[in-house]
Order: sequence, then structure tokens, then C-alpha cells
Amino acid sequence: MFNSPIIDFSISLIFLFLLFSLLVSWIMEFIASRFNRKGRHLKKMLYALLGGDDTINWTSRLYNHPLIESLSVKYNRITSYIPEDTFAEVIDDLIVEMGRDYTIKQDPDTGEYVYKEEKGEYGQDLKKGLTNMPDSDLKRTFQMFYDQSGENFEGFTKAVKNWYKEYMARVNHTYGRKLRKPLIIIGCIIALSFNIDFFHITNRLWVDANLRESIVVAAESFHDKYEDINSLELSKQFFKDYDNSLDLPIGWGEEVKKAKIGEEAYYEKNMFQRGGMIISYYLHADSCWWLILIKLMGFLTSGFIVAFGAPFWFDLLKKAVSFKKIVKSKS
Amino acid sequence: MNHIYNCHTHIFNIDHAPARFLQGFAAKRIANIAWALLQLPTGRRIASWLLSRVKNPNVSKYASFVYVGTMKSQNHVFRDLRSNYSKQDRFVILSLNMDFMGAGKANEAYAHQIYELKRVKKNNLNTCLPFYSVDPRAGSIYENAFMARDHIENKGFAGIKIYPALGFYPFDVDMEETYKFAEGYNVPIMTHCTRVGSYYLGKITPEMIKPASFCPHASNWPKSYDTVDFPLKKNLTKNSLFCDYFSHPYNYARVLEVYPDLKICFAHAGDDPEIKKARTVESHESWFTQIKYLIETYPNVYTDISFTLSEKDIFEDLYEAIADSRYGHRILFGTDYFMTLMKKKEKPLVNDFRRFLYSKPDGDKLWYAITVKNPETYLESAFYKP
Repeated sequence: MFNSPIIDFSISLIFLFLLFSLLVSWIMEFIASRFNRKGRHLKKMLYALLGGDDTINWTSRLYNHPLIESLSVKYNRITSYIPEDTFAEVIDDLIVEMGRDYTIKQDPDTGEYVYKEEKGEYGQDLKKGLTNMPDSDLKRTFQMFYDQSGENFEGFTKAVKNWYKEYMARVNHTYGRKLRKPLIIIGCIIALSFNIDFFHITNRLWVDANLRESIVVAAESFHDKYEDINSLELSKQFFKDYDNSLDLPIGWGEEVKKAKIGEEAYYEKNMFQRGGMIISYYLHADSCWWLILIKLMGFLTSGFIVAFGAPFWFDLLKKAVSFKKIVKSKS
Repeated sequence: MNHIYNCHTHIFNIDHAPARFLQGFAAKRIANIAWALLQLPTGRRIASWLLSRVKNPNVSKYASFVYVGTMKSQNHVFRDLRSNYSKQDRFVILSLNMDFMGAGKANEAYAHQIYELKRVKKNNLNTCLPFYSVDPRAGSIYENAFMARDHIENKGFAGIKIYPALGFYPFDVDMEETYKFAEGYNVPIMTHCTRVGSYYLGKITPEMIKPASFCPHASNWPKSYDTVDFPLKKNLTKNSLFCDYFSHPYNYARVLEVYPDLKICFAHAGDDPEIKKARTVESHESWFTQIKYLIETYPNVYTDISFTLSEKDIFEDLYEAIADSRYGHRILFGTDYFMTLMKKKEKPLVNDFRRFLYSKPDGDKLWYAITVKNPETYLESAFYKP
């Protein structure tokens, strides 16, 4: 049973959708970075965490802190990542700031303004800052961390760090979910642009043993070469190394072949003529609307499948290739 | 002394302005679309980029305005302002309490604007001279005065900013303690005094139509002030027109009667249409004429040429006033950065006027007077000696 084409078919299908996901993730990453979606999402989630009202806006205070401002890659742009150590240090500093009063007064002799801060012992100032915080859920949370750490500021910092770390896992999760919808949209657009039709691909892979085998070879070499697909750099490298000779069952040339005009004639025509032929093929086929519907369903399915993301397909590929190796060794 | 004073600048950004703020500048629908667009960082960049691509000088000015107004923080805006001047030059930074202008909620309330401004002050101790914005609706009569005093006495603020067009009369009873403090300690006040700019967008209440009800000194109130005709016969339903009631220089006659030594600067000299109006026979109706009258009558009344200096056709009028010994010593230089970016960039704005003044007899002395001498007298208080 395990020698049946099912394993190869699965591997080749997974590999194709991995490639497709990589391309879509790439485009998504580009758009997200241009629009600073991650940075905006982080700020929104931090606002939900820290809260704010008309008297104190903790999120803005956090973002205005020089340590956080320095994290911005581009001038006048909010950061999309705040390390847990930095977050905890800044929170400490903001609380301590509330515990320390300062004055800015002019020196009568020099005429210069002089900044004077009433600095005490750091732990004491932190305690004082916590007391000075206006009553809120955030104050209760910080007070709890402080009490649990035995009124020790290092313990408090650690607790804030862990609290943020746990929250960041949720932030990343919600960000992933937030990206799903645009991923589907981009996936459908790419599927339509490159004729990545789920039903056509499965059909070709199932009937064409040669194609299946060549894709499995490429998938296995991909599996051996890359350990992790999370890094965007790796996927970029993959596309650089990608073997163009692989005849994947995608692209509108496939449809022209179906329209029986022949490959040579296909390449002689310009883009619009080719498009016209494809449309004409579909419209003149028997039960053309049904065919068009199936085609659209194929694009939609591809779009939805791709929304699982490249890491998902890479994991699946790893499992499938390992499984094949085990089966091979046992047989 | 090798630095000048720019007595009128703003560095708040779009996050501090309430949701319907732009309705004061553009048609409602356009303002709402622009606002929604500017809420997104990319929308800001796209708007700025698109505006800068249009080969029209008017549009590119809006691009600069949008670019600066949507900067990440007040620190960024202040840095941009300073880049137009020499390192030692000093700036009066006017905060603005927009929490009560009836235009919805801002992303960041006034308290945060002040928090950020204090950070800017800490980083620029001698070049940044912030003014604390007082709105009588923000707190009780004592709270308003206390907050202003605390910031001026302990946090390095140099004066008080009031902006009546945002929905209050300057003679409001809740301003009393603030005026007492300002007069007692010679603290400068800057007030907005034009018919244009941001204005109150909320509902015009019946009380607002009876200004005398706000004034604690209504016993010696002239009869005409009791009626809706005060101080002008105006449309009572359209906010943009009604807000002239709040800003009118007449209002300050009531305040200055009680606090004659109050040091107050009427910003923008009433704006250029009022300056042009002062050339005609009906000049007594001009706000500029009325401000000049107040300057002559009271010892500590000032005006500044901010925003108005973006109009070349009133340069002569401004020169005449600056060269006039009756007013010249009470006229201050200011630009109204970054509002003026809609008209002209900061550097050419300053240079054009300086060049013009230098072309006149004693131009260098007049320039020195409005940029150094007069501002020093204006800013000097019990807490700050320039």
C-alpha cells in the first residue's frame, strides 16, 4: 500500500503549495512592512494591555521613551518589535519617573535652566512610583508583581518581563490570524494570475507519473537543504537556487495547451491574444459555465490552502518526506 | 546676545488633535476623509507623497504641513522646527488644550500632550520655552490656576496660552485666579486673536449667547454686552462665525479693566484681512486697530506677527506698525510654525520678512527689536529672566 503513488502524490502536492505559500508570504511580508502592519498591531495590542485614559496614556509614554524610539528602524516610524528586556526596563523607568519629582528652574546667576531630579534609591523610587500611579487595573497588576517579588525591584522586572513574554505569544498569534484574510486574498490573486488551480494541479499530479517524480526529487532536495523555512532570507535563497527546468502544472500556458493551439503557436501570440484564446476556449466548450465555475473554485481553494502559511506546509513536507524514507527503508 | 526668539510656534501633532479637528480647515466630508487617511501611518505617507508629486506650489505646501503635522512625536516636530534656525535660537512652544472644542476625542488627550512637551523641555532646556494652555472648562477656578502655576514655577514653562475660539470667553469666571497669578508674577499670556484657525465645533449653548453670564464683573458691563449683538451682529448658528464672539479683542477690555497690568499678547495681529481693513475709513472695526488701541491703553499688551508675515502684501502695514513708536516696542516676532507651512516654508518665511525689514530705514534695529528686545521684555517674569 505504501508503495502506491499516494505518498509521491502527497509530497509533490505539498511541495507545490509550499512554493506557492512562500511566494504569497513574500508578497504579504512586503506589503505588511510597507504599511507597518506589525508595528501598528503591536501598538494596538499594547494599548489593550497597558490601557490609558485622559490622564495617563501608558502606551504613548512607552512609545515616547528614548529606548523604544531608538528601536525604530526608520525615522518617524513606530517599531514593530520590542524585546522583552527593553519593555521591562522602560516600564520600570516609567514607574520610577512617577516616583521622582523634578524641577526645571532658571539659575539666577547663569540665566540657564537647570534640571534637578529628586533621586532616591531605585527600589524605593519604584515603590513610590507604584503608589503614585492612579488607580487602575494596570496598577493592581504591577502592585501584585511587586508584592509577589517580595518588594524586590529585580524580581518585579523579571515578573514584568515574563508577563510581556506571555503576552507577546498572544500578540504573534493574533497577528498571524489577522494576516489570514489578506493572505487568502493575495493567494487568490496569485492563483488567478498564474493559473494555480487546485483541481487542475491534483489532476495533473495524479495522472502524470513523470511530473510527480521530478517534483518529488526537487522536494526531497529542498527538504535536505533547508532546515527552517521561517526565515525570509532562506526562502529568498531558495527562489534564487530554484531549478527553472521543473515543469510545474501551473501558468496559463497549460490552458492554451488544453485549448489545443500547440505550444509554438502559444509563444507566437502576444499576451492579449493568448488571453482571448483561453476565454474563447472556455466559452465555446460544452457546459462552459460549469467549467468556469470549477476553475474559479480551483483558484479559491488554492487561495484558502495557501493561507495556512509556508511554515505549515514546510512542516508537512518534512513529515511526508521522513515518512517516505521510513517506508522505503522498511520495504 | 546672539539668539533670536520665535514667540509663536506649535509642535503638537495629529495624535493630539481631536477627531473632527480638520473640519475647522476644510469642508466636512473632505475633512473626514483626510482624517481617516491620516490615522494610518501609510495613509500619512501616501498623502504626503501624493501632495508632493503634484507640481503646484499650493499643493506642495499642504504636503509639508501634512508631513510635519503627522510626525511621530512632538520631539520630532521640534527637531524639524530647530533645523530651520541657528542652534541658540529660542522658541515659545504653545500647547493647545483641544479636549473641550467639541470635535470628539483625540488619540492623546491634553494631559499627554503636556507630558510629551515636558520631555521636549527636558531635552532642550534653554531653547524650548513652552506655554501652558489654560481652558476654563478643564477644571475649577483654582485647579486651572494651580496647574498653570505648577508648570511655570517648577517645570520650566514660560507662560500661559489661551485660545478662546475653542469655546470660551476670556473673561470667564474660571480664568480669574489664572489672571491674578499671571498679573502678580508678570507671567506672559498668549491669546489667539483672529477670525480664522481652529474653532469650537460643539453645540452653541444658550449660555454662550449671553456672555455676561460668564463674567464675574458684569456689574460694570456695558448694556450692549448683554445682548446677542455683542460684540458684533453675527450668525448665531454657524460655529465658524459665532466663534468670533469668543476671540474678539473687545472681550479683553473687560479683562484688562480688572487686571490692567496683565501681560498679554494678541497673536497674529488680528490676521491679514483685519490689517488690510485697518487701512480704510472703517478702521475702527478692524481687530488690528482695536489691538493697537489696547496696546496704547495698557502697559503690557503685545501683539505678534505670526502667520500674518506669510502675506507679502501686508509687509508695509507691519513695517509701519513696527516703526511706530507707539506700538513698535510691543510687537513680537513669531511664525506660527507649522501652521504656516500651508503658506510658506519656515526658512523663506523668516528670510523674506527679514530681507524686507532690512531694506527699510533702521531695518536692522527693527528686526532686533521684534526678535530679541521685545520678546525679552514680554517673556520676563518672576520665574524667567531672558
